[in-house]
Amino acid sequence: MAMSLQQTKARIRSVSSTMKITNAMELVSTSKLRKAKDLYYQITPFKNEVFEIISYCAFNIKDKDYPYFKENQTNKELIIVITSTLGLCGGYNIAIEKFVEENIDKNNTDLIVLGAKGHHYFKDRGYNIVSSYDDLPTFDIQESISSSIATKVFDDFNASMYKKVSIVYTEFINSLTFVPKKLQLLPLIDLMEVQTIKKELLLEPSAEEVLQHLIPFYLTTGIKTLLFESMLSEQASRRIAMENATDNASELKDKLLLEYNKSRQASITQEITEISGAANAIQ
Amino acid sequence: MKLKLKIIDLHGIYFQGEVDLLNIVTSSGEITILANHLPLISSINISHMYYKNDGVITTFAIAGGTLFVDEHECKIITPAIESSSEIDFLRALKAKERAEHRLNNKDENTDIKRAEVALQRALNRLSFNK
Repeated sequence: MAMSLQQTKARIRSVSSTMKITNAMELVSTSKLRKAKDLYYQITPFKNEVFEIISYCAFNIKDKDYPYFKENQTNKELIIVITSTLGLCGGYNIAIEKFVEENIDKNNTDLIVLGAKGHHYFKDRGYNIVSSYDDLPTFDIQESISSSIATKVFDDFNASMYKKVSIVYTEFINSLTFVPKKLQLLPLIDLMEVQTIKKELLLEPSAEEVLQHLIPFYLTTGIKTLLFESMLSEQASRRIAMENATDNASELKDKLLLEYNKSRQASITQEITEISGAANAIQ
Repeated sequence: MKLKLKIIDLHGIYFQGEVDLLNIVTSSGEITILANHLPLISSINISHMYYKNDGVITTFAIAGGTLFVDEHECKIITPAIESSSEIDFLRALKAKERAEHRLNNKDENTDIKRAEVALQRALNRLSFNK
């Protein structure tokens, strides 16, 4: 049954106001995305260098007696999950949540969740959340969250509480493609391909001290840059979601307008028929 | 032969080029690096650093980080570095006051280590102001 003229008109009005909002949000996220991308490209060489050094250490330190190279004797794993705080970003959070559910053994895992969306989701499903950060920093090279997580992770790993520590983030491939990914932070593994050196590697003052300093630095950098990358993906996802929403709204609006005109025409035609019918009957 | 030097900070590649020598303070003391150094990894202290190229010395304030020398080049990876002419003394002074304020008014939420590091960095920058 077709809607009445009044109803169609009201729907057209509501659809166009929604379209205005999604369109504005698209513009906002486009500009935020551009800014975030610039910062991401700035910070990437730094991340790569830090990861390279870690891979270099993991590869070239022959004496692997340090605890950072071995899994601890326990079944527990610690996973840092990065989600978003704000909604309306398409499938961004759902993809991460699905990925975690598929790849993680719920009973032997503790989670550190960044972002309110993921926090509520995993809490409702009975995951063991050891800490959570609902307010994520805006795009800014922010130190405090990542360094406090890094300190906690480092201390807990040293206290043999966890077998492994990993991070689940959303890898940014380009503005249209981003995929959830899991990366092992501890024990150290080769994150990148590096060459073996022929000469002996010096670690000054001692390997122990260097690693003690280098690993927290690496963890902070890793968490910070991957958080950054995830937020970039989030922004890109939001832009696409809003673009789609605007497109859909404009399609719907066209359809409704057509329907409105059709039924308006139908009622006019009917009135004319009625009038001419009545006129014929009088004659 | 010259030493290939690359300095990377949070904003990308800060400096890339060839220098005669690099002088830097690591956790095991002040060292000078020339070309063909053995592969080395060490952590950098919050301190002054300089390199010399064709007799010209350029001085920097460096806020910690990691020094990495491999067979081809020397890399400095640091959260923040400024040459002596780039330092914003006003900002450093404000940072110093903020850090001191935090250390003087401690409560259970104060991250003492972070405040101390911030203070060190500010003092390091201010030490260039003569």
